[in-house]
Amino acid sequence: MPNVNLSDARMRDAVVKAESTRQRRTIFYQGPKKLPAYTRKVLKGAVHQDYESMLEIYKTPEALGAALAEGDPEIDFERDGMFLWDLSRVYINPKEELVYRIQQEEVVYNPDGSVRERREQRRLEANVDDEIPLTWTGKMIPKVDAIRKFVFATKLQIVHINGLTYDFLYEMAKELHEAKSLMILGAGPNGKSPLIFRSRSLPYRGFLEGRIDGDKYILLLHLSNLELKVPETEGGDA
Amino acid sequence: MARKLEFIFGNEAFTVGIHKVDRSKVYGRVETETFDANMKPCTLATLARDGRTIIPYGGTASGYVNTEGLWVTRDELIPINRDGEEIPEVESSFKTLTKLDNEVSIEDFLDHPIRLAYRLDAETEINEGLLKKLKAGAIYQFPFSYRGGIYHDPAFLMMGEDDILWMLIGHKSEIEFVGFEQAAICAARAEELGEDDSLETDAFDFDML
Repeated sequence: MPNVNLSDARMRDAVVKAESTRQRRTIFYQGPKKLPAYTRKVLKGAVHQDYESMLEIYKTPEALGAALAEGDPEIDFERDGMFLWDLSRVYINPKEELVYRIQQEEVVYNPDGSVRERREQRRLEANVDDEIPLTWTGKMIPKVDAIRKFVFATKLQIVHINGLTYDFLYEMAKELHEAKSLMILGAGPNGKSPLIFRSRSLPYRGFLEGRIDGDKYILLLHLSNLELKVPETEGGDA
Repeated sequence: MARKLEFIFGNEAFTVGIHKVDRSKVYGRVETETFDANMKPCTLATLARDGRTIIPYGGTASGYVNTEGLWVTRDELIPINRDGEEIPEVESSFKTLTKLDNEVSIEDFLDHPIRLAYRLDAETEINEGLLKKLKAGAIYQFPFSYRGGIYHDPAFLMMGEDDILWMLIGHKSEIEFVGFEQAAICAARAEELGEDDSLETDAFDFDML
């Protein structure tokens, strides 16, 4: 549940909470005897069992093929099938050795698949709980127009953390409820930057929606990184 | 070739072809390439907790085990809901007629995070009354399953700008009204800021995301 530093129409700001709206799991599995079943990750094969490593041992594909026909040199009876947990992501070089120092580049592709540019990796830092609050831009888009323009991929429910922030958020929700509009929420000094919730995570455009029911409210932050439009170079099907 | 979905509105059926639209098709994509100190390309792998077993891409698999630690094969698995009741299988939406009889509000639609967007191409004539309603902003919700399986996703039929027909596939979310007494913990701080009224929608560039 990330913190969000949010400002209102009066440019007062407060740190509040953004709760996930993801629905709790509703489907479970059971096996024989009605015992609950759970997924576990298992080892299929490590690098010393892959084709390149085996070829180093047997020198030629023919020799490797003969060894595979005769026995099971590709199976590690000690480790294959073992349960895996506490895994780490690592980089390996073409010799399948661990790499401790890496350099990264980004390749930007056009929609048609051609390369637009190569550049140093951008390190986007989180900006939603920054010293500079997310800006109440006042820029409203009627809901009916917004849903025809943008794909809202993620939602976060903004909630208060005490009495003061209850009043703060309720007033925001009320204003947006009455406007029947979503308000663009921007980050950064000029309030135009996209929202980044975690370091190096996807940036999104933020749209705030408010609803009220008596003294209760819903303040929803809709996140979008896609406009609802037909690609210029449409190729793919379903 | 586009897959085809058949809808029924009132007593009239119509067929549409579906075309998936995602960010890479609209704006392109960014891929990260990784090199070692000698500029040799590197790939991502997994290191087991023993600190020495390096697992290449594709070197892991998932399986089901029961509470006794015994392997459970896929055909032995029974999907159940929270109450322990067996969940019936659903058929792929491409094999059935999808009824359009559930018009929903904008708020109902906005309650669903959208994970897939498909542009629809009418292959047969669409009922004029339906087109009129969609142009006026009507949104229809229906259950959708691509391959069939144990559940449907909530899907929506609507018209975008430029009168293009869209099917948006979402998932359910948990959103509820909160009152004063539902406050969380922690502290808050307040700080006054300068105003900036120079913002325009056009200044928001989705391509830069």
